[in-house]
Formats: sequence, structure tokens, C-alpha cells
Amino acid sequence: MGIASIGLELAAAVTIGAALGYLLDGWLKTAPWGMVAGVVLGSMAGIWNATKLALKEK
Amino acid sequence: MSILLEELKQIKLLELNFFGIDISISNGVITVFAAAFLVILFYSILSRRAKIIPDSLQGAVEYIIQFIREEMLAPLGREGESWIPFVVALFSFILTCNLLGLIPGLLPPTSNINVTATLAVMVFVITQAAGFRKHGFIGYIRTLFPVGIPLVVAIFLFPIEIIGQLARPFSLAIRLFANMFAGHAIILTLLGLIYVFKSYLVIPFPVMGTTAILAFEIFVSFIQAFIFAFLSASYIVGALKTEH
Repeated sequence: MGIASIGLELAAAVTIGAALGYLLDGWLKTAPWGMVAGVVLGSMAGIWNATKLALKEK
Repeated sequence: MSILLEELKQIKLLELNFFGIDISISNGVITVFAAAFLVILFYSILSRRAKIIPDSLQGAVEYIIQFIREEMLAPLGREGESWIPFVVALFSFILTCNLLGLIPGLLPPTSNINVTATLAVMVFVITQAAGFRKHGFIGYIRTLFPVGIPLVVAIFLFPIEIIGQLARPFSLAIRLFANMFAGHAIILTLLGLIYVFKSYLVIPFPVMGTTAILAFEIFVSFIQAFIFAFLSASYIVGALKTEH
């Protein structure tokens, strides 16, 4: 059942990463690097979450 | 078309303000209260008339509870017993909210992002609090990583894991909201065809489509309530499990 939500899990992590990066940019005045790092880390977190979900299903 | 879109708007029935925060009672709030009341009423009546040999309704509810205990919370063993009421309440409340939306004139509260976000944040806070309570601060952080990974990798994984944890309530809230909202949006779009074409010949298609979508929405209501409860249970298991 969890497999069905892998796509959303990936997208959610990228969105959260980008949002955190954007907030960090506003706070530290480091635009656009905070958001770039956020998107990269978010993508990794999405893949990490999706892998864990897939392994659990297995 | 704008008349149809009005259907999706919240109507304020009682204006309330709490230190500048709008806490007005809208039709959505009434539906949420009604759903909570119906769940409490259903389980109170069912528990009073419970028999050793269950009838069909009691049997169905017992099957759901057994499924949650043996499939969703099984890795926790006896510890999982205390989480059964929470997961059952979550499932029942979301299912009731979803099904209330099928009554003409009512919107499912779960088609409002505020309701689903509140539920998802509640699950997130409870899960994290339970994890910290069981393992302690350092112990819980340690359970987030696979056993035996080098410290350098753990330092690199830490921000990734934090983003991963924060993404969970976001995906829980969006999934339920989008699925419930989409059903009503499709129905409104189909009915909108009548307004666009302004012809009686068009009427059968939107009516047939609406009937089919409504039938499908019953299925979606059950599936989405189950997925929300299933994922919440798996997050609880992840936070409380000793080995990773």
C-alpha cells in the first residue's frame, strides 16, 4: 500500500527542502544557494524515504 | 460556472475572533463536529451492544481492529496495543468526514487543506513525541539512521533525514486533501458542461459521469482513510521500533 505513495513522498521532500532553503535564504541573505542546497537535499531525502518505503514493502 | 464554484466555499455561520485569529464557525467546522459526534456515538452504541458472538457490524469493526493490530502495529508487539485506539479513531474519523461529503449539500471536511494539515501535524507531533519519550533525545536521533553507519555518513544523512521527516506530514495532508477535493472538482466540472453548452442534449453525459464519480468516491473515501491510518501507524512503528 505504501508503494502507491512513493511519488508523492518524492515530491513532498523536494518541496519541503526548497521551502526550507528559501526561508534560509531570506534569513541569511544567501539567495539562491540556500534554495539550491534545499532542492538537492530534498531530492536526496525523497529518494531516501522512497527507498525505505520500498524496502519495508519488500 | 461561478454559481457552481460557490459550492466549494466555506460559509461563516458565526463570526468569532480570538486575539486577531479568525476562529469563526463555518459549515465545514459544523461537519467536522458532526463527524466527531457520529464516531463517538457509533462506538458508544456498538460497545454497549457488543456480544461474544458478533453480528455483522460488530464483526466488521472487530476485523478492522484486528487488521490494525496484526498488520499495521505488529512490529511493536504488546506495546502496539496502546496505539490501537488512536489509529482506529483516526481511521473512523477520516472515513466519516469523507463519507459525509457524499451527502448532497455537504462538503467533506477533508477536502479542506486546513483539516488534513491539522490531522497530519497532529500525527507528526504525536509520533515524534512518542519517539523522544521512548528513546530519549540522542537515542531517538540515533534510531533515524541505519545501524553501524560511519559518523561522516551520519553527519551527511542528518539534514536529509530531517527533511524526510518534515516531508511526511506534508505528503499526508496533500494526499488526503487532493483526493477528496478532486472528486468534488470533477463533479462540478461535469455539471459545468450543462452551463457551458446550455443544451438539454448534454444533460445525460454529466449526470451519468456524476453518478459514476460519486460511486467511485465511496471507494476513494475508504481507501484514503485506510492509507492515512496505515501510514500514521507505520510512522508510529518507525519511531518506536528499537532496531532499524
